[in-house]
Amino acid sequence: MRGDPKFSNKTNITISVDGQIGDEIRQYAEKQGLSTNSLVNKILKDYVMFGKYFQDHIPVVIAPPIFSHLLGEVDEKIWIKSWEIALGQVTPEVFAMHNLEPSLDNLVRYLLGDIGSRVGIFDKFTFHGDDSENYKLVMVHKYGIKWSRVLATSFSNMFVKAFPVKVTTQVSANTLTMEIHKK
Amino acid sequence: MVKATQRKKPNITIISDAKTLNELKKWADLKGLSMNALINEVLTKNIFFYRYVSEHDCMIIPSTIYSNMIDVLPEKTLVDLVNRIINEMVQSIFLHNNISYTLDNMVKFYFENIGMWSGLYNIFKRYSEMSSTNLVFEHKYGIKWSKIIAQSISSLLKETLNLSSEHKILPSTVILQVGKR
Repeated sequence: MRGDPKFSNKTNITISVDGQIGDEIRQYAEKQGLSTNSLVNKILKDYVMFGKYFQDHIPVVIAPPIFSHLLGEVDEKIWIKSWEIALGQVTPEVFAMHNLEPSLDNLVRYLLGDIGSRVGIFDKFTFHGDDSENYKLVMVHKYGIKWSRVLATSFSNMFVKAFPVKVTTQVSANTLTMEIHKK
Repeated sequence: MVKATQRKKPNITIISDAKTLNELKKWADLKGLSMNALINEVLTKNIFFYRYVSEHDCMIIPSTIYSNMIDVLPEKTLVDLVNRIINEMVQSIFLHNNISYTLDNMVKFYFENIGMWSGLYNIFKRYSEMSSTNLVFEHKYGIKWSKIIAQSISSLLKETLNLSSEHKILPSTVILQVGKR
């Protein structure tokens, strides 16, 4: 098609960039300590991973102070119920879109590890798993104990409904620790 | 690694993995775009919007959850929240990108792009009449949300552009008639 980039080999492409975008990309890359190539690749990979889903579902973007206010205004039970409904819808769609097995390992690594922190549910996510698929997950966020409890209940219910596992959680103001053991 | 020329439409040569490029090609074909056009669209969206989202650690929440929040929160609370969402985002993005406050820029940089990408509505149209401009916003959240959008966007136009507007609301549509100064 006219306008398609020229492939000089399997992974080398040349694109014509509109107006100020090329300069903006270069400046943004410099600010982040990346090469333009790395930044453009990161943007394109993120688009492949999330872009189509966002395009179809149009989620809502909220700045942290406003989210904190929203979190404080709405009853915890409503948050938990809403998250359970949302996870029930989002999870199978995301797995199908990326052709992933709906396994416990993919749920931990992909849904929480890749997506969770990118959409701002938490700022930092670490996990340790063993060969028997027992996991210890740690999520750090900035929204206080109520958010820790909402995440703890919503994610525990998601794991227990989908897999034969026992989940224990520990919550504090900005951290949720979750242990998942196969029954 | 990257070569760019200082022309109006500079070329950028990047090295990317075949899997990503194949996916992009599939989606470009689905949308009836060239791959170059799709990549430009993706880069533009990133520079004007996702950079803001990332730098401000914004939360991206599924529309199902947002819909439940709209149901339970009072209209006044929601108007205040949406006013803050819109004002903070518009100010930050307009200042960051050195965009001047005009109705045309508000349409081009906010209503047609950022407002829609941030999930406040999913379709936007603009058409002009003799003495006014009509802005049409379509969404999926019901009449309560129409009232909130109408009030918040009217307030944005008044505060940033000193433009008065009248609105008509329907369950999934808001029509703002903006008078010419």
